[in-house]
Amino acid sequence: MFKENDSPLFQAAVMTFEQLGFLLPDLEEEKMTGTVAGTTAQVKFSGPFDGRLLVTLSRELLPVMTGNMLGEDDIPSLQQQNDALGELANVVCGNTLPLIAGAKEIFHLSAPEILENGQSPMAEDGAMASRVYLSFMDGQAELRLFIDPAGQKRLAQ
Amino acid sequence: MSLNVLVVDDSAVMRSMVIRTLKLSGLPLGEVHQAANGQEGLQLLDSNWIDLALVDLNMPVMDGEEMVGRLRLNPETQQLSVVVVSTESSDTRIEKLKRNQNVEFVHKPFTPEGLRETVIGVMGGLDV
Repeated sequence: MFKENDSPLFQAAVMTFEQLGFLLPDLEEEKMTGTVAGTTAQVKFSGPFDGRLLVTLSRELLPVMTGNMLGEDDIPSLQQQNDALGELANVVCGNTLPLIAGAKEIFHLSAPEILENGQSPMAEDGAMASRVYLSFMDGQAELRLFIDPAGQKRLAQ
Repeated sequence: MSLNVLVVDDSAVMRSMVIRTLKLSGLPLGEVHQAANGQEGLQLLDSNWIDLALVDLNMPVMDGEEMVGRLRLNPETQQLSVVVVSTESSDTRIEKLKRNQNVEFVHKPFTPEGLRETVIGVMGGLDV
């Protein structure tokens, strides 16, 4: 639905990784075609259209980003890493939606959830509207935005 | 003058980021209190002298909008300086909050400079 490198999701993701996680993506890196293995956070949203954002960070990247956010060199706990990932997903989602729908629209974002290994978010309804891969010195991130079919139809008009 | 600050956010990592940013900004901090939701925030306001509250909007138990609405009804806290720090991006909702609840707004992700300027503005200027 959106071209990757100029999509609202891409713009919001790059800004959030830079300002929240103090991580600069390597935009020259060759695009990945597979799926990033790691920890995934999900943020569901409702409003003018409904959907969800999935953010996956590789096993190497998540502790680095969490340490950056905390300003600490110690290895962060699993709880801190999940907290940081959820907050990242929340901020990316909150910044992506107004770029798609406009700044006047009001969305409600649910609390971020960490998806356990083996959970299959793809099984839920909603078509993928945008997918972004970002490569960093310490690992990769993958972001997938799903919008419900009615919302996709409305955006296409 | 040192500022006693209350940071209310359901993310402990985000609370740490806000507090670290305030410290790095050179603001004269006194006591720093933390709460994970609006209800905890109101309880801390009842038992501590707070000069400035930085409050997230979307939180479990009690969200930031309800917390600010309640503290504005309390004569002890109705003049408290409040900065909402949130991912909220709807101009409609932000303007309504600023107009009805007398708060300033900082959008996540924030820069240290942006947070510092907003805090100084909401405190009516600080000698820092």
